[in-house]
Amino acid sequence: MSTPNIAVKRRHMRRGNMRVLVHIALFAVLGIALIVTGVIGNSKLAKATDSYSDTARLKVYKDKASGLEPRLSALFEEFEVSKNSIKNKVMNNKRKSVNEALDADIASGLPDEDALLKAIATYTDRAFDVISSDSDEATGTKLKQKVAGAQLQLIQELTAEARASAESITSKDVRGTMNARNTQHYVIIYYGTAILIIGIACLLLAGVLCALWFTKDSEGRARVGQAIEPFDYLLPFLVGVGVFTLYPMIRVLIMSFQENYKLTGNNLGTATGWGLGNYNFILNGMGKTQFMRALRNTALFVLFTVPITAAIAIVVAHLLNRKSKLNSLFQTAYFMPMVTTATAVGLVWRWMFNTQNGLINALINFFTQFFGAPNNINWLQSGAADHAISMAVLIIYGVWSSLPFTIILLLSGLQNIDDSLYTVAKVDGSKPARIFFRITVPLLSPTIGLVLIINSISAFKVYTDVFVLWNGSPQDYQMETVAWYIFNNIQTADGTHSLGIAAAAAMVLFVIIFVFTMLQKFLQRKWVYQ
Amino acid sequence: MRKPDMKTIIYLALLLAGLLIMIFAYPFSMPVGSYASTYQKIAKIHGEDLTLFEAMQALDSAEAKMTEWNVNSTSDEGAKLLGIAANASSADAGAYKTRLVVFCAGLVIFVAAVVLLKKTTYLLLTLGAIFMVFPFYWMISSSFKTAPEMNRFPPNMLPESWTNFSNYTEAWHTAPFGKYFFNSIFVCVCSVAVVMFTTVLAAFAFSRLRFPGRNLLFTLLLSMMMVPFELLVITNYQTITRLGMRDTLAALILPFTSSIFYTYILRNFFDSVPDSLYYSSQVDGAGNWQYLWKVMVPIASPSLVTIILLNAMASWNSFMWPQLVISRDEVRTLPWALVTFTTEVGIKYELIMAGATMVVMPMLLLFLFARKQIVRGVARGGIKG
Repeated sequence: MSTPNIAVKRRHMRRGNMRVLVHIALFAVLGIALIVTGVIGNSKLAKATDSYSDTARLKVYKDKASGLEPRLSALFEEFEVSKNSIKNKVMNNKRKSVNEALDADIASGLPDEDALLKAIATYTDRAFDVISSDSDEATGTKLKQKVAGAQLQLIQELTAEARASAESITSKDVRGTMNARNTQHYVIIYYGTAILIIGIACLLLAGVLCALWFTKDSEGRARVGQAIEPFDYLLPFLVGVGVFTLYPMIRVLIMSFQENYKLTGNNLGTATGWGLGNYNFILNGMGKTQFMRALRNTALFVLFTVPITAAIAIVVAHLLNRKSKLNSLFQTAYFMPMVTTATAVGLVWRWMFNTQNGLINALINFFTQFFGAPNNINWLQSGAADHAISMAVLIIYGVWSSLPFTIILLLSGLQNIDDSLYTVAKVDGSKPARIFFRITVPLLSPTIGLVLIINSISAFKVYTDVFVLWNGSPQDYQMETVAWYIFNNIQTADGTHSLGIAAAAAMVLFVIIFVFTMLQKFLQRKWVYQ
Repeated sequence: MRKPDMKTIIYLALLLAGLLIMIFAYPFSMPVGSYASTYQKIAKIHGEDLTLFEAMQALDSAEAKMTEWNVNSTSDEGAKLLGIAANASSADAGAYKTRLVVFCAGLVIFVAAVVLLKKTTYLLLTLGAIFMVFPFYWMISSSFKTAPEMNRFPPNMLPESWTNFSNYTEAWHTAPFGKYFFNSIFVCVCSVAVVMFTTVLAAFAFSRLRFPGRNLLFTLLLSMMMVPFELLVITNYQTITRLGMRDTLAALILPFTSSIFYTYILRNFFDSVPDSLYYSSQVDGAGNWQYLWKVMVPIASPSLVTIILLNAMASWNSFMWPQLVISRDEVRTLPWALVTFTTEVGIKYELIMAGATMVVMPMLLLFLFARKQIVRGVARGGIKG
């Protein structure tokens, strides 16, 4: 850039310097903040894991079948006088307070062995009292000696068991039981490590910028500032794209290979392994009938809607392509369906195709009444009985809603054709039909090709149409589509989110769209006029 | 206007004649027609398949048929048959037939005149336009009908009263449409604002600023446009859930903060701004930021308006994503709310139509005002609104 003015050049340099400084400061602050947050998150996770581990160990100690109590009872057994006297007078008596003491001790950090010693002492003292009163003190002393001899081994066994049980709980498991609803600060705890890493990265960036600052002179610094400027502008955009477009692309691909990947109630993605299980499910296994039906419906929809729409749109665009005062009126009429909410309009069509009171049946009856008693056609409920009728409704609606967009594209394509060509043809005396087929259509063919591709891509993704026409349950009428299948698996009725299956279905859909588009592009090289 | 020649006058006269014949001979409002139609339907239930004319001939024997078919005179059918017996007569059949033939003749004359006047295009265009617009008319007219009117078969073209707002008030009271409107508007405005911001900055960066890998990155982004949203939605659902943002308005705005498509459009426009403007602004000492907002954005305002319109429409009409992540009524947006409203009221279609009209009206009005802009934007972009 040419900046002849020295003052301007200096201003630019100052700006560049400022920029670097600001970035260093920002990254440093952000980095430190993120590191602190990450550390807090991880420490909270550690605390939670500790408390889980405490609970696990306590569970082992308090276990009525294999914990402290039964083992002590085994020791006390030989001193039993009357049946169950020790059980009743000692165990049942002291159990509550012993358990409470154990809870308090372990929570306060007392080593397990000491806490267990205390518990054993409580039980033993009570047993001593009971036996002394039942038999005599000598027996009681014998009991105490026996316990004293055996308690160390007892404690060792118990603590070993408890440790094993606690070790089986990893912080990953603990993290998995949390979800946004039951845990405060869920986000920092769950992503603690990730946040920490990002924080460190920010600090590193700040460090790099700092190094650059100190190793370069004023001009060099300005240049560094200039180099980092584009990324400031790009950052909001790239963050959005990264998180909500790029990451999902990769994640879904991976997810499709994770078998039984479900989003449980705790929002943990659990999977039982890697493999082609999901694909097998939808192509070969239990999901086969529904998925194949969805594929069939979607394919039929594309194969009928796209060509019909294109054909009608070409004619309409050609008719609209004239200078006429009524043009804006017609344009308003033809383009109206484009802006409207699909759900609202779908409901109108559902009403019009209503079997008992619908307009369509009324119109049909009007014409057929001359030839015989009228018969109401069951448009939307034919289901398996007469699939063609339901498909016809969907196709009519599909054509109606994709016509406006197609007409717009074709109209703008038509307007790009040079008028002089028409004039020349008319001067030569060609009939309108000939002009249309020999001049208009070939010159329009690139736009037609584009329209076919765009429309078929959208047609493959048809979802809202079937949802609204069949009141959310197209599967009851065998009218599900692939997109519907995907969505249905994301949010199944019973609350399990079979994301793995949805991912596999989505990958299949993507591949089909991709292959179909490539095929069209290849074929279009033959008939599209270049 | 030049004086029309003889041929045109004749054809116009034919046109008028055809129209008048159709109007005066209109047979379909004759009572004998509706009686015969009723008789036809009842006969079908009892196994007789009659054409309309056969039904007309049989009208006199309606009462006799009652006993033959074992119809109770107090039942619905019986009342209808008795009504026929009392009021209808087979003799009217002849008049009906004549008028029907004359009507068809009038129709043929009308169409012939249109063809001769070389206005076939207009006829076809008008028919097509009716096909496109009719659902909207049906939606609005049904929203003014009362429940008995809706149950009538065949349905009336016109509602009995165009000022019957009871459906609207009832719909408004059954579901919190006010809240839904607020949610939709809020999400729309926020989404448009955020997208505007990210798009303008990114387009500027891709167009005007130089950085290594610029073209490669842009090509990559364009290829990512190909990936359907139906695929991305799976992970986005998981991300939103993990962030605890289910059932919030933010969840409706967040995933759509960056649009590669709008950036592409805007970048192309920015590219067309001459370099000299940029350099002269640099000479004047303006930085990139000032240049962007004080020079580029005003120049690009038509493109920006298009993007805003397309974005607003997409946000208002979005259904798939809200349906996935919203289940609480307080944060529902209109298209999704309409569907739940439908499940709530069941088969009361007059209420459903009122709700649908309310949802569609704002976009419809926007379209009527900004049609040229929207159409231009769609044509340029080649994407659905």
